[in-house]
Amino acid sequence: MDAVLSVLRIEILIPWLLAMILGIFVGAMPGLTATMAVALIVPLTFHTPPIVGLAMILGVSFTAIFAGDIPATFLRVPGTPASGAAVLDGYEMNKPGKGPLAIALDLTCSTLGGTIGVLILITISPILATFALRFTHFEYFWLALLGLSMSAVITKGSTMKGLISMTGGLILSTIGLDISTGYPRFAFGNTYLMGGINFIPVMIGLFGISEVLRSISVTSHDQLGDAAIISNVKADFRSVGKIMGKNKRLILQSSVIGTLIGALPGAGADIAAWVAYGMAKKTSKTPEKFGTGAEEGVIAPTTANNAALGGTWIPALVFGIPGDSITAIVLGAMMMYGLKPGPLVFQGSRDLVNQIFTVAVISQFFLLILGYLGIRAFTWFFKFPRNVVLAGITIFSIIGAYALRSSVFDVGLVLVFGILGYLMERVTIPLPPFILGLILGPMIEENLRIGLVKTSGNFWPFFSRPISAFFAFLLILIFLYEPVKLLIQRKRR
Amino acid sequence: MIKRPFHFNQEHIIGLVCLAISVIILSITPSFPKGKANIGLTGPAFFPDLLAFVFIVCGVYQLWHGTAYASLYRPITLSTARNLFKKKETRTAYFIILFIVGFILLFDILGFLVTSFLFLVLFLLRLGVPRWQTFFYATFFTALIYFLFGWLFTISLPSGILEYVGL
Repeated sequence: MDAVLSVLRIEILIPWLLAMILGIFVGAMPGLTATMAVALIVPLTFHTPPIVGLAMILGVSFTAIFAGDIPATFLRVPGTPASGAAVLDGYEMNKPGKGPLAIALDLTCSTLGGTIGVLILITISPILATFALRFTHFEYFWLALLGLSMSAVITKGSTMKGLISMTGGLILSTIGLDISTGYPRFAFGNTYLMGGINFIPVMIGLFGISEVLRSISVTSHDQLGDAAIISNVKADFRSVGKIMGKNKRLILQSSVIGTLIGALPGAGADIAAWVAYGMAKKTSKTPEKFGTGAEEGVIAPTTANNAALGGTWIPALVFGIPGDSITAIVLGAMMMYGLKPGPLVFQGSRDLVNQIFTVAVISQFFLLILGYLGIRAFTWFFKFPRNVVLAGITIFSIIGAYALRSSVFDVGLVLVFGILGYLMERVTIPLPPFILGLILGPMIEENLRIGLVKTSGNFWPFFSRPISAFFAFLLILIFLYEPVKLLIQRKRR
Repeated sequence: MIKRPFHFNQEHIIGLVCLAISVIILSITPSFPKGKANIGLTGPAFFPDLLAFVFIVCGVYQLWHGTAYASLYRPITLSTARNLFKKKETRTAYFIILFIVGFILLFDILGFLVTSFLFLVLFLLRLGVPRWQTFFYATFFTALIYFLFGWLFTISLPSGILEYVGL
């Protein structure tokens, strides 16, 4: 109860709710992702107390993921990648005029999925944290590498390109003063580089500016000024209760799938939605109806994508390993506040952890209300010309990066990584492993080098300790999975 | 055996970039202080060198992949490079990059208000926004950002030339 009262204060509520409204706006804009919404909000959190900043980040991510389903249902354009699976049946329901029911079902399931995901997070995290206290440098080295490698393997595209992106991020993390000797690496006498590359301008560039450049270069000028004007949109909640009652098992199944997939480092809400959709189709009595406007086809992905958000916080809070690009940003923000995510955070900052959990639960109720208003405001949103939105995002990204250290050097970084992100996407190199590499690089290097000092340069303890050996084995499995699968498929043919 | 036609493609470029970065790293790190191997103390070059070797493996793989599976990728020729400047939309993206470079160069001199306003005007006009709307949106965004960052979060934004006129 104390935690509830401590977060329901006006100085927390106002920025929290404003961030959630921004999440709806960004999430509903096709092409703008939930990660971008979080990236835009982070510079605003620099000067706020930790709980205000974290409430804003949590809130914006929940609403952005849901809001992506609105254009997915009414325009067949997913607002965020996590809404990709929601297009299939949501839009098919909209065709014969059942769009209001589909979006009402979507909002209710998103709220329910999000709540279940957060409840699992609250239950599991402290237990896992107790277990994680046994970890030493050897285990943390493998765990960070495992998280990073999973992000490289799971993200779309080839594993090798994921590995290249991940290694690129790791290389970038080596710029600055060496952790043990203090020697400036790759700084070339530049004082900014000596302090290391801050992940925020990199992230704003990779996810914000690159998206602006991509949108501009692929959309014709006439379309850039267009607004997707459609008839008034509303939600119809009348038969939602009955449908949800009929699909209780599916909601629970999708929530658990979403949370578990979210908890895997590197796998976020988009993968969760697709897996939950596939699973729902497999377990359905009427799989043939999927893709033609089935209610189950709306329930499964929309429940799972919001449940995944709770799941992504499990490895982030317990081990300090981000579950996806959003929690990667969260980890960076927490470090900025002087908090070190990991098992000790449950002891040292118990109150803050409780507040984070409370904010996550209350955000679900706010999501229901703001989501409803967001649906109503959807028609208005889409009267905004796309080119104006792009201009707003660009100037916000630039000033957001400048605000970090009052330095135009960081604005330069935004531009450099914006161009890099644009080029990487052109050649289908995934972006999330890059940012995870940059954030986890110091953790991997520190644990590897301290581990080596402890063993006088002997690598054997990295493999001989039971948990380390298990993580190392998992890592090998992850990288061998795809080539072995291809080999088996070829042999079968 | 089927002879696959060779053509230079994006996979080769990725491979070459990986190799080039590795070479740069490996040519810089020898100047770093050495560690003490007998006590397991690794030097500052240890981790970057390790990553450079991973990048070499990635680079070599990409070169092989680009050659073995050349048919999967579009060939990159001189005309591809020329086409990069032909499309109006792509040219606009280059202009946006130029505007940001200009913003970086002028930000401290002209100050936040002037630079942001000018940047937005150029940006919006280039993207085809009507003139009166351009000025409205440029003023709106500049004011909004000044309110959020400068006023609400008290972040010091440079006044630039406006300092001389007492603003």
